[in-house]
Amino acid sequence: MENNKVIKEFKNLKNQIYPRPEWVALSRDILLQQISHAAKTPENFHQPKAMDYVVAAAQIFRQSFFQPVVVMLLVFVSILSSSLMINAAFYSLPGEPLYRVKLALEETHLALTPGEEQKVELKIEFAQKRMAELDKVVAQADITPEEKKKKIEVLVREFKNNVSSVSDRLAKINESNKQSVNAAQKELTLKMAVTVEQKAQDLAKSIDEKTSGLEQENIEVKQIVAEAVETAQATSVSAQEIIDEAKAETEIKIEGQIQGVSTPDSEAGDSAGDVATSSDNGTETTQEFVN
Amino acid sequence: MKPLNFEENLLLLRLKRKDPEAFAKLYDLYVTPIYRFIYFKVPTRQDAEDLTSEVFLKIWQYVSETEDIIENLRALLYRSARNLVIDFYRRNANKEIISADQVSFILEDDRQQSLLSQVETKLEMKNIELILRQMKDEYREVIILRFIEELPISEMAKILDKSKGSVRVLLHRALKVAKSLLAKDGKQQSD
Repeated sequence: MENNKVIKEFKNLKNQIYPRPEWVALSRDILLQQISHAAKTPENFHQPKAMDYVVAAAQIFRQSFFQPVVVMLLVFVSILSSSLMINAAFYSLPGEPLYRVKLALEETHLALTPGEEQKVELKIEFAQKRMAELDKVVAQADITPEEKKKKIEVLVREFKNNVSSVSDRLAKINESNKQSVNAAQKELTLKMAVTVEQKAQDLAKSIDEKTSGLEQENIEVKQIVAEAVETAQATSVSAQEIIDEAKAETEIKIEGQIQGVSTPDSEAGDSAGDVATSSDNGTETTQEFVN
Repeated sequence: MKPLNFEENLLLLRLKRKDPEAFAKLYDLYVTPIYRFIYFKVPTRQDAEDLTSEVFLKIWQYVSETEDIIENLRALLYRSARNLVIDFYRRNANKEIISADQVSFILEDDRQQSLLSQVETKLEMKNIELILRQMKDEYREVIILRFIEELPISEMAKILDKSKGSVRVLLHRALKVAKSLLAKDGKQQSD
């Protein structure tokens, strides 16, 4: 603290020490007189040209090019411009050049997402986006039915892919969970299954509704749409299966627990004990879900 | 800092072309800081004034004639001031060394100031200024440049022709000395 006190005292001197104003003015005049004979001829000096500004700017640019501030600015600008492009891609529809970019960005997003649950949710989100795009495409009045059909095809196919990958992922997660006793993990999977089941149902419904109104389109599209609906429903069903499995498992465990109270040496009792000690919360929450 | 740099670079270009208006601008911008810097290094106000004028003349000549690239005009000014003070002491090596007690009486030109105002000046001069004058020149310099002129360490290093580390060490030591001088002074006053 003492340091600050000393520093403050020094800083105060700044305002107290200054040259005499009369000397400043006098010396200014004298000096200007002394130098003016060197600049007598008008050719020696002139008003700052535009070139001077350019040279001055270039000098600064050269001096400061590698300073952190400039580098940061460049990085920021490049991020900004790429984010503008991303935004443009965001609103694109099939047929537009940026649509592929959009899909690629979605893939990247997926790759960067940690956690299986989030990935599954993201896939569902993508499927929902396809639905929104479908609405937009259907609403487009300025394209021929041929083009519309093509776009819808692309969309529905993508939709189908998204949905089937959801069910694949869910199945994979479930398989890996069967080996582990981790109740928390199982709970997570269960949550996912519930979400997927509901959402897949909604998706199946919505694609059905949207495409039922398309009369101009022909059989090909209808077929793809039917497949998509099927896939969504299948996903919903497999999610339901997972939920049912978990339900059954919990029932067995509850029974085991009840038995375990009277016969602690039995196998069921042991496994019940395991479940009870490893995570009571897991069992309780699973019950909530099931109920 | 960047806008100042741009202005400075523009000023530099015009000075190279011997533009008197540029000189006037330079003078207006830097006369007070340079005066202040020199003021603490020399015994009298007159000396400070004379040397300050010399600095600007020197810079005017140097800038218009040199081929070197000048990166920092402000640092150049301070460096020039510093060199001129060193030359000043070399020229006046014969004169007796001024002690801190005598300084206050010499500060105003005797012929122009009455005795009364001389006494007033001594009373006006704060302890901190006396302490600054008592310090070693090396320490005084860094304190002035850092806390009074508020220059960054990097620029100070350029002006003093030292490394940034050396400058920091000097500052640290200077503050220590200042603190102890202040404490001693405080003790003396209370006696």
